[in-house]
Amino acid sequence: MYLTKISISKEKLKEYITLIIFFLFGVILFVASSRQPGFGQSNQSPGIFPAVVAVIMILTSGFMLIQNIIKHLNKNNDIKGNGVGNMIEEKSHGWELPLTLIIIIVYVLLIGNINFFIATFLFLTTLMLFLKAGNIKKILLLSLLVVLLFKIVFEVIFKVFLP
Amino acid sequence: MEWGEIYLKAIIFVVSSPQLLFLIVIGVGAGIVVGALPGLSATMATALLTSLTFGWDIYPAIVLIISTWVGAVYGGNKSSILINIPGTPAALAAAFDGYPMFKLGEASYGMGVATIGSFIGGLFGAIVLAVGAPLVAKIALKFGPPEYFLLVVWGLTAIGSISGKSIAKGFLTACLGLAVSTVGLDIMYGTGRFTFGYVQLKGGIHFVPVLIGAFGLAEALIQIEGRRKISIERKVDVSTLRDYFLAFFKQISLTLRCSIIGSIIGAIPGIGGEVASIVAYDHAKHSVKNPSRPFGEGAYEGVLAPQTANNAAVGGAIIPLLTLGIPGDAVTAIILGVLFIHGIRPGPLFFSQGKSFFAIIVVVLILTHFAMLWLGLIGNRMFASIIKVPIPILMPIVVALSVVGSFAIQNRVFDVYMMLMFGIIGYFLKKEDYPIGPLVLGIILGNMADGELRRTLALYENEIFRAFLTRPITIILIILILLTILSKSNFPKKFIVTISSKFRK
Repeated sequence: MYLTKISISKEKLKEYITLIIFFLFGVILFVASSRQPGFGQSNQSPGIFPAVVAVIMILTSGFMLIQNIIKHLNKNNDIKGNGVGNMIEEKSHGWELPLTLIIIIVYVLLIGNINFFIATFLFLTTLMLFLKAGNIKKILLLSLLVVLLFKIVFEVIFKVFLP
Repeated sequence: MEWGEIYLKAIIFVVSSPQLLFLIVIGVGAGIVVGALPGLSATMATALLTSLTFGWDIYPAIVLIISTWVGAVYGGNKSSILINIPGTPAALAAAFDGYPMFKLGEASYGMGVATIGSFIGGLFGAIVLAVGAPLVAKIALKFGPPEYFLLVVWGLTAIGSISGKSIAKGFLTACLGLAVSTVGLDIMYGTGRFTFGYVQLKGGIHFVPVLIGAFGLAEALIQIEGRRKISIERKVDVSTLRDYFLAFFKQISLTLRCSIIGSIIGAIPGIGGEVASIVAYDHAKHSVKNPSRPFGEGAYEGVLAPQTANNAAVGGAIIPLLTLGIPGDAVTAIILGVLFIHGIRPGPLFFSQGKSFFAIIVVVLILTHFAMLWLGLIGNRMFASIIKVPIPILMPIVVALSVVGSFAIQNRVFDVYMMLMFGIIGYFLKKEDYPIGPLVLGIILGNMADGELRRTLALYENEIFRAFLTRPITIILIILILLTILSKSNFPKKFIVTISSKFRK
């Protein structure tokens, strides 16, 4: 009990979770492939290729998972791994990334609902302010310049339609 | 008329025309910008130019299109190196070492080396086009579904083995890419595959939003997360023209080998620069004994090799187009259309009737690469100045550029959502040391692998051994795949150690 609690570092746990996700994805892909029309009857079934991919995925992730577990059981020296240092580093400014991601998601969701250039201007201003890129005047000017540049390059020169 | 005389006349024709020379420079310049901007592709630029040059004579039209194509193929490395977003799919491999070079303050050096590599590769491709067109076309004609399928497998194995420390992790992301490529309407059955009732998914998931998300957005997130650390690492590049040429002369043999790889792979219809650059990178990684730095950590050889093959593939791609009338990719398909518009019919009879036209194309291709060298070297400093932009300003712009790029490809907001989704997936995969390259290449080549596998099974009535083990080219390809896997695996080393220790006993 004691060993399992302290011997799995955060890094190792993440590695296991990623491999389990790949393994499960492979299983789901195989099941979904087997439900494609003609699977098991015709070599032209749309399920053939994804099923092959799923099998490779299951075997590779399964093999890696077993290999990692065996290595872990043999060594059992993960307590002082790199994970500790990373955890401290991430914790020190760990809030920046989720908030950045929220700003990006809101920007993406705004596109298609409001004018692209207005959304981009708002996004650039907000994210630059959040990341402390400079004073408000500089940020507003920069955002405006970038939006203008986008308009000239993409819409005027290359005739790219923007939402 | 002898070939020497034909080429001499072609050189005089092109060089004595200020209009054609001007179009070469304009085309290359515009191509570099298009290639460097994520979301704007060589295909899009050449398609736009087709409508623009519709009423022109054949020579100005074809000169502008070819020079734009060459510029765009070359320009892709700029964004690969500077912001880790490959401007074109063929510039994917340039990011593996190019971006680490940028982080080490060697962006200008990386782009300079890429320019020299692209120049040498492009010239080599043009020579191969001039000399070996009929021979290479004959080999390409022998490729059937089993060969194509194995070629895709080889491409994926190569990228799986080159990016990252673990080949198994590369396989997993390649499989993820292949799985994503199967989403959409099935060509043979006409049924929706893994679309979950979403109309948008019927058209499949385009690789460009995935590429932009997994490379661009994911990198932006990583940079924002660790911006304090990275801002200290970035230095100003002081490399000169002499350094670029020195780098090239040190690796002259590698450059020539990658030129050969690019020309041959480029000549195979449907494969093109993407696979050529990956295979060249893989070759460099395994053949260069003492790289300037470990591969993946900013070795200039890792930029030189793919960029050389990338541009060498252009000359190669024209071979099947002109000799067989088979376009190898979307750009050559557009060029085929342009030729048709102007009454030129590429195909087996083309060489007997269109020798002068063929010679002009070769001359234009060579001159285009000289223009690319000139503009590329001038522009490197300008592009490298991006290094001075602080991360809190640069990264929001990269995110906005990623949004534009992913939307512009099909004018769908859905693609922006895909970019966001794969950006988040890419971020987590990168954090766990999973390579992103195989994911993107899997999506690009997945449909081809799917179609060719099913065609092979149908042609050989499920007899897999007869399909893959009775044809000389398939056997060569299988050997190459096995060698690629074994070269990365620890198994051969362990095997040799075990055997040698037993002999000692």
